[in-house]
Amino acid sequence: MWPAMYNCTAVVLAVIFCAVAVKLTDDYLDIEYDIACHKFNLARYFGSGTVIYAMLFLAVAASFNATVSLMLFMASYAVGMFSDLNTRMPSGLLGWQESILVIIVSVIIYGWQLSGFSLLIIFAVQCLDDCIDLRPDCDNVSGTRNLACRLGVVECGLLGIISVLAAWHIEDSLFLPVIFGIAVVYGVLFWLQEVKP
Amino acid sequence: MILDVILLGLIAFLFGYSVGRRFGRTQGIEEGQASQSLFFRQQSYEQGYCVICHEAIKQCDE
Repeated sequence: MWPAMYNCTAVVLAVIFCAVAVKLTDDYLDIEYDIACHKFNLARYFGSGTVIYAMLFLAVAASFNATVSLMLFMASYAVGMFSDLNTRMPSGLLGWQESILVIIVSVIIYGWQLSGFSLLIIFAVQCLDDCIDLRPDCDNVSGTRNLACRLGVVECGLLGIISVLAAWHIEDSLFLPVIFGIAVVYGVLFWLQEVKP
Repeated sequence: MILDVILLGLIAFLFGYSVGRRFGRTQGIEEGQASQSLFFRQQSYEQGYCVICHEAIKQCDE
């Protein structure tokens, strides 16, 4: 009983710290866009130290459960590239090439089941977040990086729900703790966004 | 089993919705383009001048 509860709590904590690390990295990269759209951005408070804090949070997440946190981080990287598919990255590769490379590495390290699970969960979060965050006035002007703007709100929401259910279908033992961890972080970030616009 | 059925149903709905929306959008744009000249002409006759260039409309009997 206790080992199972400990494992479950460790997964939830790993997901929470990993999600904060991903959020910090994302905010650091998107700071100019967020300032232009008057959106809440953590990098405005942490400045150039944002990436260091992100690394620290990822290290803490890996201490709780290395597999879950690192596979989610890799999936976030791969899915994050979906909005810059044809952009040339500092590595010299295009966005989609880096994305496929990360997915291949993830499958080699964690296997197709865990990699598929993490990719689907992160893709679902991306879709549902884009549906909530959709601001047509801003996204149309600034290059339509928002999936809901590119695909349509209903399509994007449905893709998110399908991805969540497919992730549950692939790996049901990790599903609930991971979803709970993501929900906690999302709730806190949503609250922060409301308090500090 | 139930999850499989729900997943398949949602995928089928998403496919149908996306295809229908895209076809409907194209059809709507074509219909709009076909009817806009008639709409402008009707507005111009009602106003007494061209709604695009504001030039007075010449009567047929003049």
